[in-house]
Amino acid sequence: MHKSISILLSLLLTFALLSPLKRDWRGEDGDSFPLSWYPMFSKPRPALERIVYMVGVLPDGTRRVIKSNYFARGPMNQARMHVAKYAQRKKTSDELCKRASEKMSKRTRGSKSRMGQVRLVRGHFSREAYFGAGQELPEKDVVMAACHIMGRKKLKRPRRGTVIQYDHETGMER
Amino acid sequence: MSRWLAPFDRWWFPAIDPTRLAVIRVLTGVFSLWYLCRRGLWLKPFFRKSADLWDPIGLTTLLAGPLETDVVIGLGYATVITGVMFTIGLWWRVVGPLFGVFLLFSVTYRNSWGMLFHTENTWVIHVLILGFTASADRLAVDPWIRKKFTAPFLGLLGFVSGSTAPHWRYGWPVKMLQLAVALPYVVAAFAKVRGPAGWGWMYGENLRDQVGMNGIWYAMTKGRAEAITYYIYDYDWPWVVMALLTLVVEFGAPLALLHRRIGYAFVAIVLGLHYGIWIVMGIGFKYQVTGAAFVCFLEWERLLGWVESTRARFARWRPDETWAPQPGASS
Repeated sequence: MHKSISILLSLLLTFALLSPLKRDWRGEDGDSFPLSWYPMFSKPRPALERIVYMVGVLPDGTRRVIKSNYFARGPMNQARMHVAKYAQRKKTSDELCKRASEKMSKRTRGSKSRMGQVRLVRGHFSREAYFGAGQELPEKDVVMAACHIMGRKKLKRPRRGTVIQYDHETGMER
Repeated sequence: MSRWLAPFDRWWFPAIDPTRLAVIRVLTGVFSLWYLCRRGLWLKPFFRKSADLWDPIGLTTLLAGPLETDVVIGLGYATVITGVMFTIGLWWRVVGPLFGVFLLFSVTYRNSWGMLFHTENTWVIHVLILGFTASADRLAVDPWIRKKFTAPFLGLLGFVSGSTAPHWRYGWPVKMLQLAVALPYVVAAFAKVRGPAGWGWMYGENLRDQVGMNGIWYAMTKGRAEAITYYIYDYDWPWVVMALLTLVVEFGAPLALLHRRIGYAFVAIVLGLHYGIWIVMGIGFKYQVTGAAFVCFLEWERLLGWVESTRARFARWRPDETWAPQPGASS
């Protein structure tokens, strides 16, 4: 290979790696692969973090978070994005909720064996309260889907869109 | 070459031993195979994903939609098989570029389902650089085949003959690999200071918010946030220190290309940065934390030469007779 070709290729690589600095060259979604502008740390965060997640409700009204590997495939971060996308539509929210409730119905030990209901919710969390004050419950949850777990005690099922707030002293719904 | 360009020529095109590039190829290949195979057939989670989740990016924007299951399986196998051949340096002129292209496509496909794994960018670019350059002239099967079988068509078929002589064609790809490590850090640094926070990013508020957000996400999907986040969240100084250090390392990354020793210092500091991210956020940049991303900063031929000379010294060594126990000395 001639050196002039190598210089040209070196310049091309430099140009390609720096190209995401220009807004118009960042791809249709504002980011691309394998050339990225690594936007994740630069954007300011909203006061309340909105996170879609799954919870199981126990007969006494308390709740337990259900890990994403029970109802979503793939690496955790990808599963998180998928769950958020599923929650946008009622049909897919119900499907995901049903999948989680079927998994929970097979559990015979621990708190999961006592859950009566599974809910897909969009939680609104305060970072300061969560890490600063150790308040692990959200400011509020908006229900995306709720399903009964087969063979367990039936609990009152909230409809899609229901807003749930919590008493942070007792950990119970208000 | 003009007198003015000579220093650039010596810096960007150093004549180095082919062993260095070959070791980098082998280590990158081993990392790639481990990364691809550690979860079984690595594209498996995407066989039955709903088309609703399809969110093409980069190369996959050329596709009409998700691929058929059989094609995904084929792509997974082809990437792993060419990865093995890449690592051992077999049929290089064909397999080197082919593995680069397969890996680029399959990793892009994997990233086309809503979540972009920025941790994989440098790895893919490194494999492309190694695949298209003369990185199988040593520690490879091709030169052995060419030596064993003298048929002239082997060269035409794409088997490289290899070389042991230092040449700039081995030095230039190493510089390209180093460039592919350094420039993304600069881009990331610009993204931070050109964002809404501006140079105020160095006060650490954005960083704390991001780590907090990540911690809550982890707690809600994985069951727990990293314990250290709870301890340091309320203090200001850890975030200022981390943010400041991040900007200094990221903006200063290109200096690592200027001198070997600056390169070593950069590797030590940036490894600390990635381990810090791992500890605080639970995000392990696998290519970086394993050190595979930074092997291009080490002079492997010197290291191997030292190992070889030490081995030879031990092989020559005979115990001195005066050390041998004398008859009756113990009594």
